[in-house]
Amino acid sequence: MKLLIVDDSSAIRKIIKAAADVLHMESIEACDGVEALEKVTESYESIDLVLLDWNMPEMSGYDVLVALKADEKYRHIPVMMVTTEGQKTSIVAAVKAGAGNYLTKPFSVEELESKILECIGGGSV
Amino acid sequence: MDTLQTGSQIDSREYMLLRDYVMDICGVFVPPEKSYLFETRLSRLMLEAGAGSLEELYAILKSRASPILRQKVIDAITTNETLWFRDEAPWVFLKNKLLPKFTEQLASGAKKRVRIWSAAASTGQEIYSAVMCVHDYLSTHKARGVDLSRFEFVATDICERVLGIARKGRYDRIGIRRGLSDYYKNKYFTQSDSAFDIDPLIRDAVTFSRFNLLDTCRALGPFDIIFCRYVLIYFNDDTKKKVLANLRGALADTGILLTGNYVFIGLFDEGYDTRHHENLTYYTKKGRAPGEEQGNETAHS
Amino acid sequence: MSAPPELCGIFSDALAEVLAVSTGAQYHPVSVRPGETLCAVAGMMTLAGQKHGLLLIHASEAAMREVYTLMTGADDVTDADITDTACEIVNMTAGSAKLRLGGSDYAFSLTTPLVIKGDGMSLFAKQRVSVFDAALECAGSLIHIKLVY
Repeated sequence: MKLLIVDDSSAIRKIIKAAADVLHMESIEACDGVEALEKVTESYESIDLVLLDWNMPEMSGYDVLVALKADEKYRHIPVMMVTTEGQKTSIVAAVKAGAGNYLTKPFSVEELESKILECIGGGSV
Repeated sequence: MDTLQTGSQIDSREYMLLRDYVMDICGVFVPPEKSYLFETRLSRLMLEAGAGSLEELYAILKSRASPILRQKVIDAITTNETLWFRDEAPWVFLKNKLLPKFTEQLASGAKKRVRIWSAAASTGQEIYSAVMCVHDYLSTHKARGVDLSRFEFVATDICERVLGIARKGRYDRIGIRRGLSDYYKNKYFTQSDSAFDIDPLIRDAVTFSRFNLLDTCRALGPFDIIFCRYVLIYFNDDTKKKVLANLRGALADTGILLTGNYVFIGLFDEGYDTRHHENLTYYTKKGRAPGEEQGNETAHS
Repeated sequence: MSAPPELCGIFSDALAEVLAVSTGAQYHPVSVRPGETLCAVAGMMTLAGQKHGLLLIHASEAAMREVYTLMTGADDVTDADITDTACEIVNMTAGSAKLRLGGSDYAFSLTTPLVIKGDGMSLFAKQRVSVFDAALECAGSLIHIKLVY
C-alpha cells in the first residue's frame, strides 16, 4: 500500500506519514499541486490513495483532483481531500469531482487513521 | 492561491431536524453554535445516500436508512480524542486507595473479581491505562498471589471504527506521546518501525464491544469502577438522566463512577452520592461507600 | 461601525478546538491586557469578506515549538518547522472560524497564511479600527490571538 501525501505544510505531511507508518503503508510526499501531478505521473501504478490538501500555492488541490479524474490512467486512484475547507459547497464540489472521502482539518490521528482505512476498504492492519 | 466562495450556512430547519435525529440515535446534543458540524461531517454522507440536501438526508435516515448509514452518521458525529492516563487524580486514587483494598479483598476471598468498565473507550487509551496501572501495581507491590486474571476489563464505544483501532493496541508516534510516561512506554510497549504495540498481556486483558450508552447496561454489570468521562457534557439534560440511571444499574453496590469533569450529577440523578478524594470528584450509589470503608473521603448528596 | 467583541470569542473557540484536536492538549482561555506588542512568531491571515479582517496568532518560539512537538511527535524542531506550525495553526483556526461565521455579516474566505518573526514587534491600527486580544494557555505555554476588523 502506498499513499501520496499532498500538503504544503510539512507538519501536516509529517502527521499523515506517521499514520501511514502505523498502518504499515508506504508514503511519498508532494508539497504543492504541480509536484503532486509529477509524482502521480511517475508512480501512478503503485499509488493506492492520494491525500490532498485544497489550498496550496501553484495549483490547488481541487484542480489536481479534477486533473486526476479527467485522465483515464489516473482516474482509478482514490482521493481523500484533507483540508480546512469544511463547508458543504466545498465538500459537494470535491465529491462531485470524484473525491471518495473528505477529512476536515484539524483532525485527530485516530480520525485520520480510520478514514484512511475506510478509503482503502477498511482492511485490517 | 485559489480560494473558495463562502458556503451558505446550514439553515435552522435542517439544523433542528438533524439535532433531534442525532440526539435520538446516539444522545449527542449539538448546540446551535456548533451547527456547522452537521455541514462538515454529514455533507459527504448526504451525497453518498443520494440526497441533494441535508434535509433530504434526514428524510432518508428517518424513512429507509440502512443500519450502515445510521452507523456512519454516528461515527461522523462522535469525536474521538483520547489521552493516556488522562487527568492524574483518578489514577492516583486507583493506585493508592482502590488497588490496595481490592488486592486485600481478592486475596482474602472477600471478592472474587474486580470489574472495570471504560464506557466510552474510543481508541482504547483509557482502558489500557487502567490495565497498565493495575498490572504495574500488582507487579511492584505485595499482591499476595493476586494477578491480572482476577481483574476484568470491559471497553465499549458507540463507534465501531475506533474500536477497531483500540483492539489492535497499536499507536503511532504521535498518539503514543499523549500523556504516556517513558516508564509505561518502556514497560508495556514495543516499538516496531514507527509504531508502538502494546504488550499482548495488556491488550488481551480487555474485552471490546460496541455499545450505545442509551441502551440498558444492567446486563454488562456489576462494575467496581465505571469510567464514563468527558461524555456527559455532550448530552442534553434528559439524556444525562437516562445515561446516569443506566450506569447506576451497572454499578456494583460499592462501585464508583468517574465522569471526568465536575458535572452536578445530583441534578440529574438523585441515586448517587458525590464524593471527593483530594482533588478527585467521583460518585457512588447513594448511601454506599466505595469498597467497604469510608476512608478519608467526604460525601455529600 | 466597530466589530462586535464576541467575534474574538469565536476565533478564540476555533483556536482552542484546533489546538485540542491537533495537539491533544487542552488550552484554556486566560485574560490578557490588550497591547500592541506581538510575540516572536506570528502567523497571520487576511480574512477576505464583505468586511475585511486580519487574524494573527502569535506565540513565543518555545510555545510554538511545543505545539509542533505535540502535533507531530517530533522533538527535533527546526526554524522552518516553527514557521510552518504558525502558518498551519492560523490556517486551521481561520478555517474553523469560517464555518462558524458562514452566512453571517462576517463570513469570509481563506487567503494565503503568512508568518512574521522577530522580537519586539508591534502592531498599530488606525483609529476606529477594532483590535481584539485573547489568549489561551496550557501548562504555562501561551498562544495569543489578535483580531483586527
